[in-house]
Order: sequence, then C-alpha cells, then structure tokens
Amino acid sequence: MTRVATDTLRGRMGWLHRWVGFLGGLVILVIFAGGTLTSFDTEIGRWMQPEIQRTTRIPLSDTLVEAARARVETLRQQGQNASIDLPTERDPVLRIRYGKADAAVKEALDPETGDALHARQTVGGQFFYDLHFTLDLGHDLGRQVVDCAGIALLVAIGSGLVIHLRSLFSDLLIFRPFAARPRAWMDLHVLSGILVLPFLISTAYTGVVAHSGAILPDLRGGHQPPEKAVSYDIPDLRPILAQAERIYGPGHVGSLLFGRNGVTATRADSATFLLMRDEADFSPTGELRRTVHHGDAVSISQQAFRGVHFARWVPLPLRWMYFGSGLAGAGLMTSGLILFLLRYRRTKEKDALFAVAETLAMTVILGFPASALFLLWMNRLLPIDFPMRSLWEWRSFFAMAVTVFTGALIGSFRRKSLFAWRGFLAWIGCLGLALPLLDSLTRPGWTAHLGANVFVAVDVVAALAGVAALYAWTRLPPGRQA
Amino acid sequence: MLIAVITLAYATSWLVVADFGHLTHPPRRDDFLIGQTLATALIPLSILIGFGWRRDGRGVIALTAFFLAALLTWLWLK
Repeated sequence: MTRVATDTLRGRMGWLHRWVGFLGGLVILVIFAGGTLTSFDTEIGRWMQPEIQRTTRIPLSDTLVEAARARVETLRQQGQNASIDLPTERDPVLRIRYGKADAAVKEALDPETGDALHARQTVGGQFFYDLHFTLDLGHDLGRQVVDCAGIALLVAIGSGLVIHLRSLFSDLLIFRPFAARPRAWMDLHVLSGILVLPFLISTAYTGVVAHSGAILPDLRGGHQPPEKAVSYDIPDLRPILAQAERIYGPGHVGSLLFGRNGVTATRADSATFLLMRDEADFSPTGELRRTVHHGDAVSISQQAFRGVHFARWVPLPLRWMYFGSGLAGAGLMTSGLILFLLRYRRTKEKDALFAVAETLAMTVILGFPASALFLLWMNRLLPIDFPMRSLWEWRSFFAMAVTVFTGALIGSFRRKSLFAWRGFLAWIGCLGLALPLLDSLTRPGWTAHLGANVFVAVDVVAALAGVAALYAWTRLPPGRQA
Repeated sequence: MLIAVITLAYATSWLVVADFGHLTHPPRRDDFLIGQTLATALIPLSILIGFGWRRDGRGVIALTAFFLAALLTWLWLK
C-alpha cells in the first residue's frame, strides 16, 4: 500500500478518495453520463425516429386498439412475445413491442388509422438506459459491475466529505476559473460536489439498492414453476382497457402484456411517485380475474427508492433538473479524473502507468460525448432501410469509443497527449455544433416543428456540448498540458 | 489493507442479508429486501470505518468483530 505522508484521518481519506475516485471514476463517469441522458431516453428515442412527428397524445380510437390487437395476434402466431405500450405524454404513439428484451423492436402505429408508421429501426434512447444499467456487459455481469461502481461512488463521496467537511460552506462560494489550472479544477470539483451532493448520494444509493440483488443475492433459491400455458385468441381489448382505466385512472394504464394464460394491464410508471408495478389480470375472454397491488410497507419503501432513481413520474421542469444535476455530477467526476492526472503528471509523466491512466481518462472523458454524438449522426446518415440498422448504430457508438481510445493511447505513449486532447475536443465541437444542421437536412418537414419540442431540445443540447468542447479547446492552447 | 477491508465489508454485509433472510421460516422476500437495503449502506460505511480508523488496526478489528457477530447470528438462525 502507498505510504501516506501524514497518518491522519484526512490523509487516509485523501488517499482513499484519490484512488477509489480515479479507478471507480473511469467506470462511474460512463454510468453517470449514460444515466443523465437516460433522463430523456424517450425524447432521444423520438429524435432518432423523425418519421414520427406527432407531439401530443390523442385519445385511443377503436380503430387503433383493434389494429394493435390484430398486430399482436399476428406476431404471436409468428412465435413472437409481443406487448402493447400505450401512448404517454412523453411518447404520444402506441407501440407494439416484441423481440429480445435487450434488442426489442418498438413498432409505432398511427393514432388515427392504426397503420404501421414506417419509422427507422434504431437503438433509440434505450441504448443509453442499457449503457447506464449494465454497461452493455450483459444482464448479470453488467449489473454486478454497475453495483460495485455505485458502491465505489458512495465510498468516494464519503471520503470526499471527510476531506472537505471543515470548509464545506466556504467552498460553496469559491470558484476561480481563471486561477492556476489545478486550483481552477479543484474549485470546480468541490463546488459541483457540494451543489449536487444530495442528488449524488440519493441517486447512487437508490441505484445500488434497486439492483442490490446482483451483488447481495436473495438466498431463498428456487423459482415457482411457470403457470400452465393456455392457447387463446387475443380478446377485444377495448373493454379490458376501459376496466383497467376505471381501476388506475384515465391515461394511467401503461401497457398490455399477453401472458401464458391471459392479458395483464399494468399501471403506468408515470402515474405516481412510487414505481408501483401494480397490475390487473384478465382471463383470455377478457374478464377481470384479480388486481395485484403492492401496498405493504417494505414494497412501498422499495417503490420509493425506485421512484426517486428512475424518475418516470417527474414533470418536465424537474426532469431538466435531474438532467442538470447529472451534468454537474459528470463535471464533478471529470474534474476529479483530471485532478488525479495533474497530481501525478509532474513526477510520473514518463511512466507507462501514467500513460495508461491518461489514456483511460481521455477515453472516458472525451470518448463518451464523442460516441454519443456520433451515434446521433449515424442515426441520420444510415439509410432508413439499411439492413440491421440498429446493430450498425450500436457498432458506430463503440467504433468511435475505440477510435478515441486508440488516439489517446498513441498520444499518451508518444507523450503528445495534448495533441490528442485538443484533437478530440475539436472533433466533439464539430459534431455537436453541426448536429442541428444535420437534423434540419435529414428530418422531413422540419420547419413545421420550430417550437419547443424534442428535436429542438436535442439539437440545442448537442450544440451547447459542442460550444463547451470548443471553449475547452481554446483554454488548452498548444504547449500546455490538461 | 484496503483489499482486506473491502473483503470484510462485503462478507459482513452479505451475512447481514442472510441474517435478515432467515428471521422467519420459510425465508420471506420482504426480510431479504430490508437486509439488502441496509447492507447496501453498510458496505461503503464499513470501508470508510475500516480504512479510516486505522490506528493499531482498530477499524479492521471492529469490522472483524461485526463480521463474527453477523456470522454467529446466521449460524444461530439457520
């Protein structure tokens, strides 16, 4: 173990904060940035399907419900496990969901005619959700890695608090962006950390609790055998929907699932602060069999944890606050990684391990925004009917990440890392600033939607990311280190 | 030392989940959930205490004592 200079509590916590923060931060930053974008996963998904231009939800028509029923029936005959996602304020079209859970197809139907809207296949905003949830490492391993990273974040927060406890409030008023580089980064690190401290603690803790079973398994073992399957034709869904709306309220039915022996209507996640997952089970002939309500104290506390973390209930202003807090948290982690590099650059710059550390930090800090923006670009540049389109979008994200990693590796080992930092910052600047132009050139009827909508919001955020990258590029003139 | 502290923290937290899970026979889902919620907070706290309270290894001694208590509880409940 590295010897600490002074064996005090602050010294020990400083060592712990530095190393857990850096090693964990390389993973946590990706999870956190992915989670920040997941705040608007539905909206990003809509941006990625510009063929669907409806912006407001209209009441379900009989034609639409019947068309959805017929489509599900067809898919079931083809051996697909299909379900119906009902329109919401955030996604105002009905969607038929089928395929594998991690690569589901979400087919949209026209709200008036019930015809399939021929929108492009895309990974959608779900991509960022999966990245946040499992880092694309698979359901089990991914959740374990993400949970461990969450624990590391809690340790980093706890040790950081011990270090800065004495000057917690005075640091809140200090930010010197034009001071010496380490001072400026430290100010940003402390200020962003204090400002979003409650958000950081609550999201980290609730996130780990929500999937704590991945690292602290429930030891009961054994699973209930699946219910006996009954072959049935999908019944008329209108009475089922009407009854479900009487139970959960108008517009608060989330989806219709077609199980082995009947239909299940679930309560919409957005219906309440608690992520309840209540459901009403119907027989194959459409009669209500039972309702399931998780109302005991333990379930409610779990629903509250999930409600805080998943934020499916939040109105738009609060959703932007989640997004802003996520960005501040990402800023905190970015500044932490850079402070680590600054600390060791003077003494360890010639070490191979330092080059590895800088490569990984650069890959995470610049690779994520570059890859996310590149994914949006490829979403619009790939032809609509391109074979395996979603897969190619997925590949484009990771291809860009590998490109940044390779550039960072070469730059760091040839001791020209500044060149790589500047190059990728400029690249992000170009991708972000030009995205609104790409959107206007590739979105049908874009002039009809110049108000506040998902397209404009994504374009503006991308452009701001580009401006921020170019500003960082100007603050990093040739000859200076990050 | 950090690795020893992390191992002890994880093992103790895992035993806390098992303890809660075995409060009743047969084990109930709700008890496991309470155990998991507490254990999730326990891991980072244990790491901070075990690593921070290092004088004469007191943090590790405290963690070991907690681990043994959780282990004995589990053996008793089991």
